[in-house]
Amino acid sequence: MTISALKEKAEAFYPAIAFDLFLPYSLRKWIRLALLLIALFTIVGLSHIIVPIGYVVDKEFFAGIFFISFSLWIFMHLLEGMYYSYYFHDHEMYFEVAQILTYHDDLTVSFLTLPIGKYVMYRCGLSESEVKSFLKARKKTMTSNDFVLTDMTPRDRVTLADFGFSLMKHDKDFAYFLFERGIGEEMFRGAIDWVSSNMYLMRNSQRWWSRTQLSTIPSLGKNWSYGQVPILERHANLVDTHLAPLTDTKIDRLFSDDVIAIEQVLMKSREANAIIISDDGLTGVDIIRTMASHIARGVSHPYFEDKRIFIMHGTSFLESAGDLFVQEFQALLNEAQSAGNIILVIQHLASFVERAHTKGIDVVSIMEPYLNSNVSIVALSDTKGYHRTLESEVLITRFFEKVVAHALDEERTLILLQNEVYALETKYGVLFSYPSLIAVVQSAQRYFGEAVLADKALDIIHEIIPEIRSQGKKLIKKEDVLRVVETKTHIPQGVHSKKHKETLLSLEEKLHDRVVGQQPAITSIAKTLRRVNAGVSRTKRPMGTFLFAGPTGVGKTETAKALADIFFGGKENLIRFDMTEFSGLDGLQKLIGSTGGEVGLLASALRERQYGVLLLDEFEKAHSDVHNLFLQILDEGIFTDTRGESISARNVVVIATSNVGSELWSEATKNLTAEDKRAKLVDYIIDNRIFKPELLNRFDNIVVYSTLKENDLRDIARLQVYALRDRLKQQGIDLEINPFLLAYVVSKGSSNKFGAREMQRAIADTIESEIAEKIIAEKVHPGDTITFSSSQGEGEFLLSISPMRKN
Amino acid sequence: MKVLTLPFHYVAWHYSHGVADLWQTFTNILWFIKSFFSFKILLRTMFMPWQRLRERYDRRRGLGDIIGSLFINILMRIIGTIIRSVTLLVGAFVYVLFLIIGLLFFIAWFLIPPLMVFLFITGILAIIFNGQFDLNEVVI
Repeated sequence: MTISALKEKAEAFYPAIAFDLFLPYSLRKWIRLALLLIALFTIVGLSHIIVPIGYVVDKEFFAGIFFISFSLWIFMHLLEGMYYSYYFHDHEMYFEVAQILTYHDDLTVSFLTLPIGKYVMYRCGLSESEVKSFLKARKKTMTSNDFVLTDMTPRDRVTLADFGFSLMKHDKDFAYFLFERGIGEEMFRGAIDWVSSNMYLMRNSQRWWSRTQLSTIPSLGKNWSYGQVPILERHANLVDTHLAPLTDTKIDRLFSDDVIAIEQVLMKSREANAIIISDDGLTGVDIIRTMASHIARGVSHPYFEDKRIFIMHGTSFLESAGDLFVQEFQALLNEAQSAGNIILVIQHLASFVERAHTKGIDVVSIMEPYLNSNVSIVALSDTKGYHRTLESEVLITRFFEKVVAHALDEERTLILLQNEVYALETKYGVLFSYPSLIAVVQSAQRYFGEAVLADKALDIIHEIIPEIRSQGKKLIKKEDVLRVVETKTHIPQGVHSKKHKETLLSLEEKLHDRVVGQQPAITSIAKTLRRVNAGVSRTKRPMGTFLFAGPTGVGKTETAKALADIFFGGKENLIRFDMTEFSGLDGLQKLIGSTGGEVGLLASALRERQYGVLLLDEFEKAHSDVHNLFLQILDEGIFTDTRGESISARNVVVIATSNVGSELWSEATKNLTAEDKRAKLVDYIIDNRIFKPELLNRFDNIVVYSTLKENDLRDIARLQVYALRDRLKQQGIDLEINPFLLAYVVSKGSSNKFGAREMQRAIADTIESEIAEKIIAEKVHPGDTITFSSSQGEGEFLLSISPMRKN
Repeated sequence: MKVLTLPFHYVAWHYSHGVADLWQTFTNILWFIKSFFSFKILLRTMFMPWQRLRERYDRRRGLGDIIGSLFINILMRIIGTIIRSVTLLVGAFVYVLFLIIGLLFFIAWFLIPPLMVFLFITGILAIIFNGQFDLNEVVI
């Protein structure tokens, strides 16, 4: 759509735009109040205060003031009425778009200067001064002739989001300004959508004469024509339509399909009961609230117009009623039946039934006589609970119709949060930026895999608010969310700290300090971790998955240890499993738990430490069932233990090591490239059916560790000897590192079969033992320096001690 | 300068969209009165016991009890019918009252712009011709 076509449409809003420009919205209410006070003062004040105390006043002058202020007061109200009329009129575009199109020829200036644009930028987490400096530094202005509206959403009205999206496409400077601050196109569109929706809600809430607002006032007749329910009121709550996300059409859209499904069940002439099953068991509450709001607004089926919905927490009722539970529950159901217009919602039915069962009470049997009466029961349950307890209950499957609620994915959770945040912002005087809200949802998804997304996201929100308030800040930014998540999970978030950035950028170098050679492996790990931390890789997988193949003692395990230490902040962040222990038929059970109640080792290790390196030594030796488990873990980063709980492995780097194919490498293959070696190894593994091809495919990289070369061995010797010197220094003893010592260690410790591991043994058997003897015999004291030098015998050495110089 | 045309735009709105919006508001409030007094529900349940309160019969407890229960139940129905009738009457009165007020407001709506201008000019004149201006004459 061209600019002229857009401006033509915008003309329909002209009177309201002109009015808003002349008197901004925020100023108008003060003007109205001032005019009213002046009018009142000229009548009341004049006759009751000034004249009685003896002042001589000019009555005509005051009367004139009264007529002017009163007429202007009425006029202001009427103008306001006109403003609302245009604002909500069903034109081909939204009011705000029209306002921007007519305010300034440079549409970017127009957008960023008007209050709506300022609000959008603030929601993007950008301060007013940032925006001002951008406008000041802007070299190229964008005339409206450059602008064409593209990518409209399939709606018949031009939304502010459509406009903003097109603006970003046409004004490259503006787009760059946003990109530079981490605001992409979709994020910008989302922020605008949120602001528009809030603005609409705010304006609408002030139109007391709209049907939406009038519907929030409860009616008289319902309570008089239907029975009283004191017991029900004691144990359950009337679903409050005032607090329900009534007016937000987005929220309505989220649950409307589910609401229709429930309404259809409840309108049945018999057995009108439903069970809403959702992953979290809580989505049902939102569906019920939406349904209640439809009833209040008179937009639901006429069948529901006089219904009252009560929601009851079964387990709490069970506990509070104590021994009288059965009688109370029956009385409650009788009451609901007699009342004649009750829809009873029972939360967490599965746990209610289970808990009652432990007390020898059969809840479902108590409900049975009422399941085919004029009281409708809606049960809510989480999926696991349903399968665990309710599915096998004949009465449940017979009398309750199953409605599976649409799962709340990230996008739906974000919409739900926007609605929840609206009330919290007003209450606590804070403002969430849109990127911060996205960070909340993403963090909830990534780091709290075991719990319900919306629930965990709300938890994070409730934790951030007091923290931000205590800092005296108002705007909650993405970084604030990441900091809270970091505190909660101890997982560094994103590339926000300088130290973290430096570690990532120099990861190869730092790993090489610990691991000798193995360039391809280390490069591969470093690249993967940089991708993950920059947020460009898939999040619903482990942070990285590698298969390290190669002979023993070449640095596979050392790489994993070094990674845990350098990147994840400590050796304790290494979870290590020797997979030979899981080679039997019970291997899988040992890892994920058994039906007998035994806790799985992998499940409990990951529950305890969800961030670090998961090292699977000798992976090929695990049972094929274990391989199948890892097929899922490597792919989705999540698995379910025998208790039915989801365990996340999305914050670990999975490193599987294997010695397979060691025999492939010889002198003849030493000149092969890393890629050729990898291909040769993969062929070997598949030909010998060591791993299934699909399992191999799941690894981000298969890295072949080469046999150590002569210079690698020398480097390892140096590392080992330096490590020994560090240990000795802790006792105040120094070790001189000379060419002889290094050559000696290499000669004793070189082994094709055991790699560098042999070197450790050699140092322990010879050098360390010799020093130990001297320490015990008190021939070496703190401050002394030990030197090894050659002796006459081949392979022998001479140990000399230089005592500390005494003055 | 554009703002100077605002009064003219206002007048145009007042006699076109303004009337339509006023009608919409009027129907909204009528809907609200109907919904607040629950006309449909009250009519449908006109002869039902007050808040569905009723005494249950127990045939084993003799005629006296049955008559007692019957009396209470009839009483509850009478109370229910009386309260509902009163509510319906009050509701109907409010409904009719609002219809009349609404109608008057509709008429007033057409007169508001000239009346406003008149008041404003009167005020200006009262200030300008202070002392030489008989306010009573204008107001009367």
